[in-house]
Amino acid sequence: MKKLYRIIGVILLATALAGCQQDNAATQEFAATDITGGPWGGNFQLVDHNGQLRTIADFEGKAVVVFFGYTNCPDVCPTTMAKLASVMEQLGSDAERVQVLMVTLDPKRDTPEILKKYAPAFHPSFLGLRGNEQQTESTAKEFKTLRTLQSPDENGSYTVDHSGGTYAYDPHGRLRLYINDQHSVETIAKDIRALLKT
Amino acid sequence: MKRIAFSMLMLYSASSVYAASVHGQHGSAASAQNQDKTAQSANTSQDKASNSKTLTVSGCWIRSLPKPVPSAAYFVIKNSGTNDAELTSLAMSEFDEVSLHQTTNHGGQSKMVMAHNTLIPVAGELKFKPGSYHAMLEKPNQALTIGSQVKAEFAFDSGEIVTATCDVKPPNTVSE
Repeated sequence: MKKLYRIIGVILLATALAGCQQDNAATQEFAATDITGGPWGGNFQLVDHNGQLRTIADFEGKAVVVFFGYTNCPDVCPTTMAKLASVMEQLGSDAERVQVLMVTLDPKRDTPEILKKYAPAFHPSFLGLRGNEQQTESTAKEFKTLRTLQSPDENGSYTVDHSGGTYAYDPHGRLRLYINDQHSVETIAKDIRALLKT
Repeated sequence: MKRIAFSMLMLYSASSVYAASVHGQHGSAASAQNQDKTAQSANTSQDKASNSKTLTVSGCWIRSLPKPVPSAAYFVIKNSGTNDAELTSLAMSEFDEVSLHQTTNHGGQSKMVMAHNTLIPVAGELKFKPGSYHAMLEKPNQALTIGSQVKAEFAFDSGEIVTATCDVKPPNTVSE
């Protein structure tokens, strides 16, 4: 009988904790747009710049920040990457529990070699992620990221129209935030610290 | 459910699109001045006008990115003359292609296009800064050393030339 009570107790506790966790996820206040519970952006399957296949499960225990861009984007993309690097500095030792991922929207030009030079140039921990054309397109769709390859000019040079902003997962692998480009380093750092506590 | 729908709406409205530009050309659309009055803190270069006595370029810096990735240059042009001036081109020997671009933002949507109006009014200034006007530096022909300086030649419609030096800064430089 005692055993039965213990089992019931454990079940009740687990249910209560699960409820708390869900409530935390639902009621947390963020400066960024809270997209918790959306039926999209649940995962990705792309290869990092070291050749390792990556999914969100690889970063269990870390807040994961995902940015979609490409290296031939000279202004907004590096500006966002620099801002995220600054967020890492601001986070101090908490940065060890944060992983920034840059997903290229231009896999044709952004070879693993280029991504390997580009992403860590902003912060040594940053990883560049890449898929083939089909994987890139489906990942962009999964994250509601606009992506349009423009026609090449006479030199074969082209640009890629794309959405700005970044996404953030909490350490449990749940997509939680959409952070637009207007948020300051301080605001982003504060939101990420809050995510790390969930 | 309501929150998810709201988030999706926010996401849509906040999404921005960066579009390609035609390189090295200028149009004559809306004035750029209003978008470029905010402060920028990257004024570390000590540049003065050379050939022109009334146009000055200051705070020029380049975000150093690994070759062959294109990078961008940012600066402030001031006009103390009696005539409006228009920047027509920029040249740096370290890059085979340099073009003038701008990022615009309308209702949360950003777009990168060719620089439409690079007018520097009398007693005014034009700021090239991240997320706004910028010089796109393509086809680097050498690797730049962070902390070094690069010479840049700014050409104006009046035929005046201003030579300035640009500081080469790390990739993670944040300009407020």
